[in-house]
Amino acid sequence: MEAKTAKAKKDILITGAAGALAQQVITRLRNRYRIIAVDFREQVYLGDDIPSYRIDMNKRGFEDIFRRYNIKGVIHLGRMIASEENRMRRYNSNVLGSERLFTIARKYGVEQTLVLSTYHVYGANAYNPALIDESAPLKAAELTMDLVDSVELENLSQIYLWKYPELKMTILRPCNIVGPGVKNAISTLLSAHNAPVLAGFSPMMQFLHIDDMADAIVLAFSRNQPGVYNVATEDWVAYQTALTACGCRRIPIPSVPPVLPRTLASLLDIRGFPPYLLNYFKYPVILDGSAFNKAFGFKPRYTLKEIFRYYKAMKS
Amino acid sequence: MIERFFPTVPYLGNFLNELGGVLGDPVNCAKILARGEVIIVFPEGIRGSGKLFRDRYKLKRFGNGFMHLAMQHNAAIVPVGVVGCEETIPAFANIKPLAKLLGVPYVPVTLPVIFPAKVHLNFGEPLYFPGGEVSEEEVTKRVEKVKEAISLLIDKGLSERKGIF
Repeated sequence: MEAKTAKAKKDILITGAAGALAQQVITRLRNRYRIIAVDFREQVYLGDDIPSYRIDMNKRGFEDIFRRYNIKGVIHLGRMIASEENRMRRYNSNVLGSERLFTIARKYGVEQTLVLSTYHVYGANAYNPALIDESAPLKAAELTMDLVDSVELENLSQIYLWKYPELKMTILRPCNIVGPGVKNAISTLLSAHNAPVLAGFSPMMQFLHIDDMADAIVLAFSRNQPGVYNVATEDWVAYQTALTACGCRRIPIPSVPPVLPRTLASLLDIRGFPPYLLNYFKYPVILDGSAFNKAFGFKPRYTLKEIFRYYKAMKS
Repeated sequence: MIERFFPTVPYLGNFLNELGGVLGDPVNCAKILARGEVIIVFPEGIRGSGKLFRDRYKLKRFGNGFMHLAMQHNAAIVPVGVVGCEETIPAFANIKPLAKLLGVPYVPVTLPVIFPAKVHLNFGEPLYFPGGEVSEEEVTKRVEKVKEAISLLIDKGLSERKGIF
């Protein structure tokens, strides 16, 4: 009987399975689908019922996974974030790797695809409007070459969204994802005892708890309404206020002339504060998440206070 | 509405945000007007705030953006002539090379004090401009009408004030 139920489950592929977010998503979906987990970093053990592979999407063997299983859905969370690897490797993995994934997905009749993008694609610009909706131009690439792969991945996904509607592509652009296990730039800073700030700048920021983001992914995948959506909270707070709430000591870095903080960030080589992300600590990128909330009935559960309490408790 | 340059100035952008200031971006303005709220616009923009003392009360060129927004949202434009602010922090020169080096529009040479000048505000009658398809030339003409109305209100304020302080 159990085997029969397992057989009736749809196969879905989840990339980036070694990441904290992917594991939260897998926990939520493993009873409804047969999950096939892949990651380019490591082979993670997720239980006997979940086949797990360590493989680069650019490698020939990647297609074998589609040959072996009848994959009908893809949740593509395996994106190298800006603080990982170098620019060329990120481009190869995020852009060329994703293109390969989408091409193979089409070939094997995948019926549904979800791509995790980032709010970084909008670019941190002094002229950003107070609330950015999905139709805003993606300006990150004009700020720094280090975010080109993020913008290209978006554009590539959008091409597939419009050109191959059978893939039912959903692109999610979340604000800062934070919480237990998250290792991105902002989470690294909130976890630190000392965090750099640009003197005189404290942009508004949005923080979404990893559990809420996992819920959002599951909602979007379950309801299957293709499109591009911001995923964000309706509450925001100034960066420096967030640091204080998390019990971080703020270390001011001179902010003018602009070359000075860039040089200092390069020399200090702080993981959460790379020179190409400096503008995100200067100007706000606040997302209007109302389209996603309306389409999927999404409402984050965690308040800013609860999120910051976790980071503060970590330090004591 | 905050001039676009202000968020790029350390401390100033944050301070203005804390006071409730929002970037003077057309998207922000459109959203505010759509909610039936009121916007205070300084149509000279950065050209006005970087003015030297010798050019006081001479209006610089106005941008057309505010007129487009008012027309699109059927909003009344209430001209206001402000007299007095030009004497609070008089700027005597602009150190252009330093401004260029710092990546800011101007570095004024001024005294390290704020003078307690009396500020006089004169409000004019609301002006209405119909929306619809209008050439940019016509929009500029309409902007000039607003500029003229403000100029008259400034002259009124200057002639009526009895002293600077």
